[in-house]
Amino acid sequence: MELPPVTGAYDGPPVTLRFWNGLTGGDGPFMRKLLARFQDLNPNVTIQMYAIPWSNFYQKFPASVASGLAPDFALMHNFQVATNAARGVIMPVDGLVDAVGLSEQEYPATVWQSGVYQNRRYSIPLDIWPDSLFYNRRVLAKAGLDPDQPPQDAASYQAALETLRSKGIAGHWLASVDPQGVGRPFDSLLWQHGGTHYDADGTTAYFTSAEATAALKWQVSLLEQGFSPRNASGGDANVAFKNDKNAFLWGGPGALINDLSKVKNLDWGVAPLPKIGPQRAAFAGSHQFVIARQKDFDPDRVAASVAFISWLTRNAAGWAEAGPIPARRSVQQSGDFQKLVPQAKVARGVDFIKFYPLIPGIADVQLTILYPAVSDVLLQNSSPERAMEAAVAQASELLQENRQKYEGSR
Amino acid sequence: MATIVTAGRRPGQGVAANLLLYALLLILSVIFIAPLLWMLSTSFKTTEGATALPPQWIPEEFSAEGYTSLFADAQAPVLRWLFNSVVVAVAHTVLVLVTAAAAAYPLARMRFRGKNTIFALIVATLFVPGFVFLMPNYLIVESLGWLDSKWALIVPGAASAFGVFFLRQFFVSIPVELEEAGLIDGANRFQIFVRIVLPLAKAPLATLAILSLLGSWNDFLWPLYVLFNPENLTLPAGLATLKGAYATDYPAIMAGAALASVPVLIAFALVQRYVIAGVARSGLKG
Amino acid sequence: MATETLVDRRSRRAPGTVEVPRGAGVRPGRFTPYLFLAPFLLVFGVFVLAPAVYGLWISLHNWDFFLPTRPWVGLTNYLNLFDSDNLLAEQFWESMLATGKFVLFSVPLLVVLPLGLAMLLNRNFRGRTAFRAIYFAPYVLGVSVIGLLWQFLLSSNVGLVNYYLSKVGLDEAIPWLTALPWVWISLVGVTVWWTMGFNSVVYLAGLQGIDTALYDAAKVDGASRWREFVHVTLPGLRPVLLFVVTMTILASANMFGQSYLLTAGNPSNETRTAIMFIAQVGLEQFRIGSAAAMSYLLALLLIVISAANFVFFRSKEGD
Repeated sequence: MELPPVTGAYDGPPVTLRFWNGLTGGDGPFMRKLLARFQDLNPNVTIQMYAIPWSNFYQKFPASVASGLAPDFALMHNFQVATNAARGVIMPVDGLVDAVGLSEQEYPATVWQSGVYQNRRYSIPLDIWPDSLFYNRRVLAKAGLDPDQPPQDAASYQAALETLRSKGIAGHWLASVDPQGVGRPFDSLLWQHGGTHYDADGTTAYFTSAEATAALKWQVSLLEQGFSPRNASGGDANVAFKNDKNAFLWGGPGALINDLSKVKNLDWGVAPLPKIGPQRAAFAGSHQFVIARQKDFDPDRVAASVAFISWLTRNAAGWAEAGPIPARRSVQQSGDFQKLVPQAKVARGVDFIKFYPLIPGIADVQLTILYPAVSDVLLQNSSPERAMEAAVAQASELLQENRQKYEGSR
Repeated sequence: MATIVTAGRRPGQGVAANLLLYALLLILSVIFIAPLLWMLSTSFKTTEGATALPPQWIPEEFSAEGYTSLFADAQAPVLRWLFNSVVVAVAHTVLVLVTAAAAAYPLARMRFRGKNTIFALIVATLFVPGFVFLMPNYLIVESLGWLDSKWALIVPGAASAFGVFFLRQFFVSIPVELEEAGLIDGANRFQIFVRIVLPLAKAPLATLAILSLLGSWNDFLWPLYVLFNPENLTLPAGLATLKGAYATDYPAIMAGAALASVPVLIAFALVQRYVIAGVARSGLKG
Repeated sequence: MATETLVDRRSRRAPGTVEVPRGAGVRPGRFTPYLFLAPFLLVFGVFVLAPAVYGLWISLHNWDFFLPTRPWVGLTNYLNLFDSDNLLAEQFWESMLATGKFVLFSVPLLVVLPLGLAMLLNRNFRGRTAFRAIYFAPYVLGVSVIGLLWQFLLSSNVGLVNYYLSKVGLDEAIPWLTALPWVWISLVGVTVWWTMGFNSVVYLAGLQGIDTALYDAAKVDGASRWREFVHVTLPGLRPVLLFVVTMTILASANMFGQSYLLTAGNPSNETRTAIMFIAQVGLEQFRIGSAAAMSYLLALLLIVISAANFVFFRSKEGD
């Protein structure tokens, strides 16, 4: 089944579209504002937005498609696109790409390729959110560090943490508990050391590689040197940062820029992640538009959906106010975007971003096997070797199971 | 309703013992109530005030920020969730009462083919934990087109084996003469059931109603999975989304929790005698 | 009851009208009982009987929501759960262990503490009703309110619990929701706080049903408080105790919301309960066949435990 042909603009009869996403945080209102703007320009299109927490979204979205309750279009994380393409719940959009005039040159290569599964494109990238270094300027200043020069390499990062420690401040609260907060810094470090998580065809995990070990060792060293309290959660680190008790947070701009901006009297800045390993790299994610599979497609609805997607990716500077970096280079370079100071600083790291590989089911492997194992190590429930060996065995099994399952469903 | 027999078997044990008892009860009360007061107090704080140490039981700076940001949030229609929960709980309870009472009556009072088999089947399911039905019922609800609708919450749990069993035990204990009087007056079975039997069964019906209401009100797992649209959520499923959405914005989270709790606590305070009498009775016949 | 004094007005009636044999029931019109039963049986059939069989059927297939075919696999889904090399089995038994721990830690507390509370409340004093209502109140709030509230109270840095502990000299912030063994203490503690009132009220009703003459007799015999408790109170409470124990085991084995909201299964799946895992496998990863097999296995285990429990209490009755 293919999507009906569209043009990227809509002037048909009035339609009401349903748009699902997981923008339940501070980002939701920004999207709603943009929806309102689009609807002002296109009075014959009404878009109802349903924000479902991401953790529930990936259960509900496929289920809704299977039950004929699917929305017209949705936003999805880059690392879930292959999974849902393999399940057959989202449509190939190759035809739309030409219609709306998207082209490869407009996107960073990693981002452009992230929507392609088995040589077909399934998603249209909206934004990028590279993990970045958020620093508390007041804490740095209090410890005698230069709040305008956050450390950007391993040596200066270590030095800064030592200085902070000498002033009685744990400078880098390391999230050890909640998998999401635990795993992404590990991913970044692994990539900085030049490692990869999996082999090219996604059947073997490399969590015990020298690169992975080095990444883990550095994280553990933060705990051992007293740069972080033990057993901290992401929420703890966040609250400590807001209360001037923590100097550095590693996290995504989508969540943090907004969250930190809301705190009165907080003096903070953001920079790309420091280069701890031999090369720069940062975990990044991307919100991407997908078209849900329907039993029958109404060409008007598809056309109106595409008109919105096309408009929004072009006007993503408005979306960047919510925190993320627009996926399109032209928007990144626009004056509107450059006016957003923290976002523009985050965008400096765009050349070093890394995405999860395009393997169906990859999010399950990362979230349910790798991250808990990292957490186990950081919580000192298990030695690094034991935890990672077990994780390799489990991950390899799940990878092979996924491969069979998703290839079987094609 | 039967009067509660107060045991009080050792009256007048001395003032000291009484004081000790009260002290113990008061300490326990603090443990049970203080968290709820903290929730209410936090909901009226600024974000800074919420995490300030030492804790402010009475906010130094009163703020309705938590409530205003929640009410302004199209993604968290807390009052809508409250409404959904009430509708679902009431409809579910009515369905439980009607079906269970109607089924319990012939099982207590009539002779017919298949009676023992039916009763045995019903009793047997009393011992089957509910989660066994999770997967198949998800598929059944899906094929009925009930996903993301209130029907999925109202109907599937409404076949209360406990309710039938519990009411049947009661109906058996009603003297049959009372019904005969009705028969002599020419009433049919349905009229007897409605006019004579049900009014006598107010207390057990109330028990069943309260247990059903509480069960539906507290149900969390099922709505979490069968509801999609944020506007269709019930309170438990909806509130769970606040944690992710508001992260460490404690006044907003506590405002959501307070909005969900205060009406319920007031309702409970008004009818607590009946709720407690209802729950108390559940254990006696089971 | 006044009704019991009514004279027996039972009389023989001509065949074909209504016959009223005492106790056994009134012979009704041919279809009447079925009409009464119909609404219940409809719901019961569709949502209890049918799924019980359908679930078994599903569990014998590789029933993935998104696979075009759902091949018959016989007992494979069950056998896989006993294969030590199988990832799903490993995670399943890990989650069963979590549920087992929760049952083991929470049930004794939820059986004993409410009994103590009920005995306190079973005295004659002013304000009894109010206290009873206060202890019951958390139960009406629902698990999500409880989850949000305690998430905040138990937060290791900004939580009230750690703050007050630091006031009494415990300077190390306790990671209530993130580290062993604290996660279990938190989950059990919160559950006890939340549901204790319910069990207390059930006990209280049982206590009030015990004949006060028995206590008087014990007093005449000069029995100590403890002997009185063992020889009068406990035997009098036996049916209620059976009910409370059975219900509490089932409720604890069903635990989902507390883990989902407070610990999200952390640290590293240590508190991911069986129900949580089954829901994840079935309704998030859509491996419904495997999930159905797991629920049947767990159910079987619980039925055995309930039956053993029942037999235990029955055997005590003979003592």
